[in-house]
Amino acid sequence: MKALNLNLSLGLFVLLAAIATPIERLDALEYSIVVIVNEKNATTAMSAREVRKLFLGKSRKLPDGSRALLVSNEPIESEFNRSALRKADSQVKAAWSRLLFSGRAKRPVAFDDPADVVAFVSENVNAIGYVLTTELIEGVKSVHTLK
Amino acid sequence: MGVPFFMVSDFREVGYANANLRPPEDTYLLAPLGSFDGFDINSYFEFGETLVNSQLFWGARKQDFFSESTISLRDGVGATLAFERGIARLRFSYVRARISARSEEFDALGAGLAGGTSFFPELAEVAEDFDGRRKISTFSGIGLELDMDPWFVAAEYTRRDIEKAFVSSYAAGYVTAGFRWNNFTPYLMVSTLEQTSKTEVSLPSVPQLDEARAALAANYAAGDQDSVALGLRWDFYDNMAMKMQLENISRPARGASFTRDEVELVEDSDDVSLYSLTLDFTF
Repeated sequence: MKALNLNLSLGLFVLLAAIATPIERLDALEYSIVVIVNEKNATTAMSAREVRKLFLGKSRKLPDGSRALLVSNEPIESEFNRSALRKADSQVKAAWSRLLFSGRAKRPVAFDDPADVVAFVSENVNAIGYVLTTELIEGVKSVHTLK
Repeated sequence: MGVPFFMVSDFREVGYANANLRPPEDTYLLAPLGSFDGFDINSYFEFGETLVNSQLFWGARKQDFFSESTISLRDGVGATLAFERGIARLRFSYVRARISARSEEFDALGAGLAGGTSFFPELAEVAEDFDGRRKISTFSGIGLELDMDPWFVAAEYTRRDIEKAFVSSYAAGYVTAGFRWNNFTPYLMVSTLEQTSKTEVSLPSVPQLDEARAALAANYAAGDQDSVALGLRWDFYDNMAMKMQLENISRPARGASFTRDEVELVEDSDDVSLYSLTLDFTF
């Protein structure tokens, strides 16, 4: 009986949480998001469209022609999806599920610490990720700033 | 591996990846063998703004259906070619295989026809058509997806043709359109299935063949059906989606989804209403 109660209240909680927060948003970002690549990569700048195509799996190559290694920065992933890809998290996830299950693309490497994103990009010449401007450090360079 | 007959074959069972609750049954039942053992080669090219994906595959499979019949697919070979550019994705598919079907009823029919050839030589050809062995079957499909966020449209047209008469050839297609509004995605799906080979088998008109004639006629019972579905996907929580769908299936005769004799829930040719609710998760 207790387990049933717990289940019920958990279910109710999930339902309430869902109704109360339709879309999670980081409304007041103090810093902008920048798209970064390895400093040795020949790419110097990318358009919003190029970034969007890469992170939606509609293109596989960086502007220098190398095969892109996508890196996801989990703490700001939702914000990136919304502002760079112009899609809700669920849409991005559904799109990637399609790509993964049909073997058409590899899932982006994901880190929950921005320092790891920067470290990974600085170690892989064809990697591309995104971080807040404050997290930019050596070994990487910004190729696009989100508006 | 999943046989990539259809546009969403690869992820048709991955609920979260699809807006609709399930692909339209009318169309997707054209390929009852959804997967086979084999291998494929995938390649990608980028021509300017266009992403081209081609796939070649080989495989075979044997599968029981309801413990009553066995369908096997041999020497399966096929290819898909997809073009993706901007909001559009266009995809072509073709599969060719040798299909065999076995069931008690079917074997009895085959044996009866074969036995009859000693009295009626003209039965030989019909008997060969109905032996259910290794008939060349082809499947071809064309699909188009347009994602004009928040609107999206998907449509497919497919055909399944069999060289000999033992199973009917069909053409099927559907159109799905939907709209994303916050966490809600309502959609409408219309699909149709039509028999393209209503082969008339002419048996000598002698009473001894009445039974065989009736059995052949039953085998050709029209499988045509149409359906309309109205659904709603609700992304109510992280990595979870709930979907509901109201569906109306209409059929002039028995329809293709209701072929088991045990299905006595509905009378032949009655419309069927189907209400579905699913919960999908992803990781």
